[in-house]
Amino acid sequence: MTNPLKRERIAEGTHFNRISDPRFKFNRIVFGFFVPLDKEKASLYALIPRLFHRTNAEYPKSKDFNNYLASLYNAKVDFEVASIGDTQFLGISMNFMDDSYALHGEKITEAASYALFNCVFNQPVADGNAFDNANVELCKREQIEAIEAEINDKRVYASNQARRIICEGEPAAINPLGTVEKTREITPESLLKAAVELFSNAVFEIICVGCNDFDSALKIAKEYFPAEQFDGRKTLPCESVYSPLKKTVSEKIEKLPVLNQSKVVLGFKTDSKNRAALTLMSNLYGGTLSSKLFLNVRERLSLCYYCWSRLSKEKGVMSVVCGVEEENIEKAREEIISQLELIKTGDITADELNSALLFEQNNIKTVNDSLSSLTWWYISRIYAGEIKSPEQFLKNYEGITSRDIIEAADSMRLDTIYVLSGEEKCVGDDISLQEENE
Amino acid sequence: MNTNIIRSDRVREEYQVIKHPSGLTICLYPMKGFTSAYALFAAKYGSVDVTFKTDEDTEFVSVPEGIAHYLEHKLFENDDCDAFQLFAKTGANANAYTSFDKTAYLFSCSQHFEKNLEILLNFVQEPYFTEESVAKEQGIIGQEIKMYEDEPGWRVFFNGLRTLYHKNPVRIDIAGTSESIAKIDKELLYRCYKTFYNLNNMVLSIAGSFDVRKTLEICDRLLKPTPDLGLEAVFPDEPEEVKKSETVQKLTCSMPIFNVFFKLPAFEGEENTRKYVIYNIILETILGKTSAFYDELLNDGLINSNFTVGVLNGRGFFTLTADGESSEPRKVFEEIKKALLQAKGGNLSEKEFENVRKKTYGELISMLGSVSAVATNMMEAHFHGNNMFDIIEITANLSYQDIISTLAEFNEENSCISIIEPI
Repeated sequence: MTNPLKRERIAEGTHFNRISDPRFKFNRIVFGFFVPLDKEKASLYALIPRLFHRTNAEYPKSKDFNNYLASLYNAKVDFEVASIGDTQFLGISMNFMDDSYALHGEKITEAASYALFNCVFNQPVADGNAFDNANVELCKREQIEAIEAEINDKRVYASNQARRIICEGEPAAINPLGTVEKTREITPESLLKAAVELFSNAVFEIICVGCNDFDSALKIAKEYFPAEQFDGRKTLPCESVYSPLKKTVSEKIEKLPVLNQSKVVLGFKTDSKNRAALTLMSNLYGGTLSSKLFLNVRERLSLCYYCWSRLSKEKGVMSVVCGVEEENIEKAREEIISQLELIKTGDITADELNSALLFEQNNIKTVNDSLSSLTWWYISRIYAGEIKSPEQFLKNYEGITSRDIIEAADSMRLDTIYVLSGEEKCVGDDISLQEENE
Repeated sequence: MNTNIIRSDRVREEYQVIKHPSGLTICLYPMKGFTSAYALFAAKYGSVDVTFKTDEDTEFVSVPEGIAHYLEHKLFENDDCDAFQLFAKTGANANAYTSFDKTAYLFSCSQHFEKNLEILLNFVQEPYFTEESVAKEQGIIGQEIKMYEDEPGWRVFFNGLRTLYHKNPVRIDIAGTSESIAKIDKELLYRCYKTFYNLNNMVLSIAGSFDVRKTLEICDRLLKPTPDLGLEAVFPDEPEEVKKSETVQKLTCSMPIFNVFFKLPAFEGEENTRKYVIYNIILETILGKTSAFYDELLNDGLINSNFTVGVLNGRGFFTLTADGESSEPRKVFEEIKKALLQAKGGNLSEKEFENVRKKTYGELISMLGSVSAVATNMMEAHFHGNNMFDIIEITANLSYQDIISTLAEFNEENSCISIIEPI
């Protein structure tokens, strides 16, 4: 079993990774930066890919750049800002069609690759010490609106609020977009300075997946990353540590002015490093539509529409999220805890264990069929320092027994109980109110 | 068994459409080298189908809103176990969804394809409802409805459809309301099941890694032939004009969210697909990320990059949409109408149209690399009465003149806005 990923060091802390696969009709290149999450710098760093993806020096006006990308058959530059444990991940990506499908024989690959590298390395700079003011101000506004918009999705908001309590004082509690206040403070000068700093400190990973051989992308990467310029730099170590176990359970109730359905989030922590067993235990507990939480909290008690568990392997944290009526919060909480206790006592069937394993195998194998899943898979594997293909990684789950699952459940300690509810229920819109009165 | 090979020389791909003796249409698209398979077993039955009759009925029957979605929830249960538990034994990722005009049951798997297909075909063909199990589901669906009541992005859309349409059932939430689902019982579920889950009204669509011969063997063995019942679902007559020009709701959110809708008559068959492509390109050219409109409003702070445009079409409805976030949504609405009017007056760049056409074509090609997108597109195309390559050909052959002549007929004033304001 070989790994299809070809990995090549092109400069200090900088690697070029590629998978060439003729099944795909499109290609994807991701330019990834890894830096430690830092509350002073998160907003600044987060703004960089947002700015970079909009324009480059060749196309300094975003309208022109968007038209150019459209003419390349939906070549699409996008960006991503995320946290992976205690690390901030900043990504700029490009998806582009294979040349052989162009309607008039246009050459897309090289043009698209250059456009992406130009976004990263060749931004318009005013007087040599600042990015374009209008672009920076627009990106600041959008970042502030994105931070504030977290409240719009109540499930995401509740999960994030709980994570901030679970990992309080740790980098993982920091919003990868930073804060509204810190974003407001950014200037075109401070952002350029931060970008220079990022190029000195960040770990770079370029990941290419698609039907192309990516030889031209590698050639361009070597031009932009001259080893003599990059070899002297010192990259910051990017690691995550398990969130320490607390002595007491944190509890918080937050009230919104209007909310129809309450959200309950329970955070558990472990010090077990048997990640394969923890993963299967979380699947069995609340990761699937045949899990204990689904079958009991939803199906047997009809308390909710969703109740699921998710594991953060980087932090050793398992979260359970559930949406319920306010009067059922206590009932749901008791059942969620009780189902974990049952696993601890060994209430696991061979079918349940097998289902948890098959579900994981299916998810991992399916990664192979999508460009975005494959790139994200390798970003995660590179970060974890275990660069295995999906097939190779499956071996990690061989030999996991019921005993391992019980031990994984037994290692979980309730850390946080977070409840989001409303002062009042919402009323309908003008039309529904009018129709109710008719 | 009648087999048609649907081929596209342009994208060098093909798939099979089979009319099975049972009455079912089967679309098969093996994808060489892929690891996973994606299968959809879908009925032409959605939330809009609340008034219908078959050859066995003397009069049209009306059923409570949200019943198609309720049926979808209940179909996973049979007399001895739950279909999810059967899929759990194979590791497949199974699910289902109900839209305005269809209900689809699906699985994605990278192993045990044949076993999964057997489970899918069996459970969808074997309804089992009891009074107790139907009553139990009210709590679960009630919570699903409440979850969406808190989501401004969801509410702004459905409030908008109620503002746009007077009578068309697309104005009703897919899941219904707490009141309407309280009227649903097992007799009504069986009635709707027998009417709409007729194999002549369904499609099986499969893409990815699977064996065609073995798939057809399973179909031959498990599909239960059903006579064509002459199903007729009707919609009430809908006035041409929008019901109201604006609706507003207050919810917990960070800034005002809006959906703008433009009302058009519904289209059918190839015309539906053609108009879908044309109007998407019109909206993208005039209002999308490549347009002067987008650039100006973004730079003026009136919109942010979450602004998107699109076409919502289905059986009995066709509407254009523009949605986003803005501190001044009414001003954005006026600017949108102004930009459309100016374009009608001849201010539409042929070069920008050509860029958007290429972009649209590229989007369609990208879908051919996704197992789930291929299976879904085959199903959609079948329900729209065409094949999945038609949309690619329409896009590849579209001219600037096609856009101009369609735009000339468009009335930008027949529109409305739905706004969610922060509380």
